[in-house]
Parts: sequence; C-alpha cells; structure tokens
Amino acid sequence: MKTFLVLFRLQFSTLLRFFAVKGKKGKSKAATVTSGAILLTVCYVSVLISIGALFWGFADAILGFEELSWLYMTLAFLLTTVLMFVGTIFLAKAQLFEAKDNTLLLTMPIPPRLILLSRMLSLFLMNLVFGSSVILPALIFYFWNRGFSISVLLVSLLLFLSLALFSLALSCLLGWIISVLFARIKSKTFVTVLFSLVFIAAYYYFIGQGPSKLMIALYENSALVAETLGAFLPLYWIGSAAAEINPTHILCSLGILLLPFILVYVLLSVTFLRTITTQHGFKKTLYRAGIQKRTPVSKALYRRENARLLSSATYLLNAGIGSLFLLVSAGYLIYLYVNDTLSVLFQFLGKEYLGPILCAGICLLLSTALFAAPSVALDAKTLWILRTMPVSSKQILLAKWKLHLLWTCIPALVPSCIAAVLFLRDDPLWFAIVILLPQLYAVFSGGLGLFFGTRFANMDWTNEVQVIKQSLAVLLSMFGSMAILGVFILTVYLLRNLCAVWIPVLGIILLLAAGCCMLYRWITTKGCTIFESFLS
Amino acid sequence: MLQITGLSKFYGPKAAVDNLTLHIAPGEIYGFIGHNGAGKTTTLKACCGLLSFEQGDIMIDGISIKKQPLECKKKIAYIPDNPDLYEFLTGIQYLNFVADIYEISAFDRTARIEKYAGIFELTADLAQPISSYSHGMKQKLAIIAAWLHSPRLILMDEPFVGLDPIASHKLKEMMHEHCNNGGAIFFSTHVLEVAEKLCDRVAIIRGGQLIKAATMEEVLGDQSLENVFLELSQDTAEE
Repeated sequence: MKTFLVLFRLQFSTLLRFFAVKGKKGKSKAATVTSGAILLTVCYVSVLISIGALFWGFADAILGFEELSWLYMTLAFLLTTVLMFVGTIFLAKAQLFEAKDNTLLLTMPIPPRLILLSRMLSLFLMNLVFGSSVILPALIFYFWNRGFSISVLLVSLLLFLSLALFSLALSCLLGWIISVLFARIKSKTFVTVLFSLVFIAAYYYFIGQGPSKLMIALYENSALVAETLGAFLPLYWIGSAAAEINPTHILCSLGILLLPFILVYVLLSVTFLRTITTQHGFKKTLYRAGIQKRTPVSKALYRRENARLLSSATYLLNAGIGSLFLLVSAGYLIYLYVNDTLSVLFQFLGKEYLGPILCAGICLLLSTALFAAPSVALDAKTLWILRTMPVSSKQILLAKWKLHLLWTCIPALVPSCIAAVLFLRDDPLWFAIVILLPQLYAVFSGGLGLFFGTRFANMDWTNEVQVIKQSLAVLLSMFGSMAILGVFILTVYLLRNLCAVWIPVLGIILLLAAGCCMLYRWITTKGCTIFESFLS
Repeated sequence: MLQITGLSKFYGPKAAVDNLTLHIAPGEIYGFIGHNGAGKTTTLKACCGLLSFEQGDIMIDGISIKKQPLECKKKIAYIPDNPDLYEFLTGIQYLNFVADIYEISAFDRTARIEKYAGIFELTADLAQPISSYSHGMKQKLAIIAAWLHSPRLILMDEPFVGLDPIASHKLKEMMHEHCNNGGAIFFSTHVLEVAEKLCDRVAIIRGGQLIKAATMEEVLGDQSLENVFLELSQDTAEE
C-alpha cells in the first residue's frame, strides 16, 4: 500500500508540476498557478453549460413521462462514458506504456502491477473530471424536474464511479492492443496518425450529428427511443438502477461495469513487463556513402523542428489538427457554395457580415493549431546540443516560429482563397482581407504560442504527452488566441451600428500587426534570456 | 587556449565551483579529476556556455565566453557524460545537422564523416534512427559530431564511459592526433589509470576548489595518481 501511494504521489505531482512549477529551478509562481486554475475553471464551466443545454432538452423531452425516467439516466450515463472514453483514449497508451520512468521503476523492487495501477489511477481521476462535466448537469436537471432524492444521488454517484472504471478499462485495453500491434510496425507515426484521424472523423461525425438527431427523435417519439435502447438490457438496467433504485438492476449494473475493469487490469498486469520491454527488430536501412549536402543554418534548424514534429504522432495530431480542419473547411466552403447555404443566411444577417464571419471561422481553426507552444519544452532533454553550438537563441526560437508558420499559413491560404473566390469576388476589399487577416493571425498565434511556450516551459517532463497536451503553455496558447479572437469579434459586433464593418476589421489588422511586432521583440530579447536560463 | 580565471558558480548559498583558475595551452591533454559533486561537470559546462557563472571569466583563444559566446562556441566542442541526442533523427541526419550549424562544406563533412564513422565502425548504422542506438553507439556518434568541425578545444565529461575497449583506444588516438595538430582537450574522468597515461597535465578539484594543478610528472612523483588523489583528498578534508 505504501509503495502504491508513493507511486501515485509521483504520478500526481508530475501532473501538478506543469501548472505550478517553472523550469528546472523549481520555482513556483502564484500568478501562474492562479491564471492556469482560472483558465481551466472557465473551460470546465463552458463545457458544463454546453452539456447543460443538451440535458435541459433531454429533460424537457423525457421527464414529462414518469415511466421514461430510466431513459434519461441511461442517456446521461451513455454520454458520460463516451466523453470519458474519448477524453482518455489518446492518453492511455502513452501514460501506461510510454512513460520515460517505466524502465527506472521496473528495475526497482516494485511489482509491475502497482506501477500499472498508479498510472491507471491517474487516468481514472481524469475520467472523473471529464465525466463530471456530463453527470453534474444531468443530475441537476433531473432533480430540477423530479425533486431531490438522496438515494438517486448516491446510486448515480456509485454508477458514475463504476462507469469511470468501465471507461478506463476500455481505453486501457485499446491502448494495450495498439501498443502490442504497433511494436511490430516500423512506421508507427504514420499508422498512429491515420488511425487517430479515422477516430477523430468518426467522433466529430457522431458529435455533430448525434445530439441533434437524438433530440429530434426524443421529441418526436421518446417511446420509440426507449424501446430501442431498452432492448439492450444493460442500458435499461443502468438507467433504472439510478432512476428507480432497483436493487437487482443496481447489482447487475455494477457487475457489468466492474468486471471488465478487473479483467483488463489482470490482463495488463500479466503483460505489462513484456509490453514495455519487447522490441521487435526491423530490417536495417542501408547507409549509402556519398557527398553530403550543405544546408544553411536557418534551414537546418527548421528541418530539425520539422523532423521532430513528424516523428511524434502525438505532437503531429495535437498540433496539426487545426491545420487539418483548415483543409477540411475548404471543402465545407465549397459544399456551402454549391448548396447556396450562405447566401440564404446572409440575406437575413446582412451581406456585410459575410467577410468577417468567414475570417473569424478561419482564425478560430488557426487557434487550434499548436505547433509553437510545446516546441520549447520538447527541447528539454537535448538542449545542451544547441546551447553548445554557435547558434543564437534568437535563431533557435525563430525556427520554432517558422515551423508554426509553414504548417498554418499554407493550410489557411486554402479556405481563404476559396472563400475569397467563391463568396467575395465582387468585393475587392473583403477579397483581400479574407486572405490577409488569417495569415496575420497565423503569425500572431504562432508568436503567442512561442511566448507562452517560453514563458511557461516546464523542462522536467517524463512523457511528451505532458508537454504536448497537458501543459499550461499549450492551454494558454489555444485559449488565449481564442479569447483575443473573441474580443475582436465582440468589438466588430458592438461597433456594427456606428460604422462600416470593414473599419474595425482594418483596425484589428493593424492591432494584429502591432501584436506580431511586439511578440517578435519579446521573443528576440526577453524570450532569448529566458531560453538561455533553462540550463543555468 | 583555455583560460579560466577566478571562476565561481553558486547554487543558492553553495559554491559548486569556488575561485577556480586554470590554464590550458594548445597541444595539451588536460585531465580533470575529482570526487562526485566536486564541480567538474559545472566547470566544463561553464566553459562551453551551458551554465552562467557569478564570478570570474573564461577565455577561449582570448575571447570571453561571457561577452562573445557564439565566437567561443565556434572553437569548441562538448561531449557530455550521457549524451541525449535527437532520437527522431538518423545518425547521418544528426551529423549533417551539426555540420550545417558549423557551416562545414559538403566536401569536408563527407570526408570527415567517412573517416570518423569508419574509425568507430559506425558507418553501417548511420542510416538508423538514433532511437535504435545503444548507449555506446550514441557516445560514438557524439564523439564524431564533436570532431566534425575540427574544433580548437574539445571538452569532454567522462568520455570513456560506455565505450568498448577498441573504441576507447581509438578515442585516445584521436585525442593525441587532435593535440598534435595544435588543439587541446579538457576532460573529466574517474578512471585514474587512463588519466595517468593520457594526460599531459591534470587538475584535481574538491568541493569546488582546485587543490592541485600541474604536469603529470610533477603530480605523480613516485606515486600512482590514485594514491596522490586519495592523499590530497584526505589532506583537504583534514583542513
């Protein structure tokens, strides 16, 4: 038990350090912790509100019928499970099998099952956080309609915890399967990215279509939805266990939810050591001696950044999802044009808002492209190489900015040009703005990411997922860009009756340009000083 | 070649290096010996610009590492004790990256890569990702990368750790060749027999302070380096 607690404390402290501690000196900054906590709270509350709106609709459609209370609970638990599974599926493999300290811990007198359990526990806690954003609003609206019941609350919480274990079992099992399969594949990055993209596409398709179609079905014929879902007995049992406090259904539900976790834990415990340590040999690539090519310093630095990006599926997916969405949005714009959707919309809104809304959409997608923010901390282990070479910190940091620019500006050009040609070809000013503004925003968001990535770099990570997905720098970069974009949109909206829309937009362009200059100055002065202090 | 004058580096109230003064001339292999935590790595890192320091200065060929770090770095190479390299690159990609930073011509880099990779029998593995290399192979690659741009001064932290006997022997030959061509080497080691046979001069450090620095003949007298080291360490502890 003692050993397990030590392991769990280690896991937890590693996660907490990313929000509390800066750099190798271990100094904690109250302002950093506070701003990170506020940001996370804002995100969490936003998600709560969105899901709350969904359950408001469910409650309205279902809870008018006494006999369908179980259906409401089933939907709540289903959505909770989906969110928990999606939230941790990409983390499970990295967290369990790719942590840098796995080898160290396995050489110690610690049973592998305890190492595994400590890692699973941290994933379990993450499940609880994700799942709570669904179950909380679901229960609030249930009690709002049906009145508060302590027994419903307790059973729901019990089932919620069991669901978290069930979801954990699913994501860990999938992570294990992928780990075992991928050990036999040479081009892991490519396969991982492909698999992940398919998953993301399916996820967004169902999230995009699912809730609205479900809501329509519930309002039109909730009895039919109940019949369909209830045909699968475990779903009925879970719902009625919470809504009707049926003891038999409670026991059956707990059995169905807990048994998979036990089985998966046993399986992973038995195979943990082998999964981590097995290495399959691959055919060697032959080195062909020949005249090597010389590359300019700036290009060599950029190539290094690019090679690292392409070698890591996690980095590529997390950072590049925004760039991918930009390309997909180009196709979506063509779809909208062909179906003449936008012209109908803007006859209602006013054609002068077409340009700003197209710009805002492209910029919003650019906010999710996070190449620069994690790039500084990712250099932690190998910083000595660049720092002992005759290359300045300015050159190093600008290479990271360049990485962001090449992976965002070019993808952003595609929807910009399509939007300009299809929707704004009669308006030369907006034709230019819809191309220029996103490009400037890409430069700005890259600089902002580099600012946060340098300012809040934590160089003590053991798993690159901690830097790429869980770091304060990445969170601040994404939400900071979105917040600034939100302020711009609000400004245009508030000034809509005072002047033509293009005037505040031109002001925004000037502000973005000024912002880029300020970020450049900071990065090449204070940013370099901070970068040089990392090893000191 | 390398002039360390009054170097002091503090971590909080503790002096990792305390008023260290050391001179290394061209053509010298200079050994740096001390117990664990004596300040050897701190000194080496300060010399190659990895660590800032509070007092003193370090001059490489008359250029201050504080005032002109980039100019100094053009003249040096550093090999840490446990080289973390870019695992996402292949061996040849890493060497080309280093060569690009030091602006080595295509012809020169090709010849040097062929030469040094051949010496360490690493040629066949250059196309493999560094992630597949053993510790010894990474060490060899780091050594090749250090020699690639023909630095004036090579700083090495425990260079023989992880190398097999043949590679160790080859490294010693390279060190001699480098110094015979006017370069200098400053390295730390715990393997006193190697230092005894290899070094022209040796410095012994304890608790961040230099306790002895002289030619190997002057330091040894009739004793082995191990005995000298133990004796000096004991004397200093008693003081």
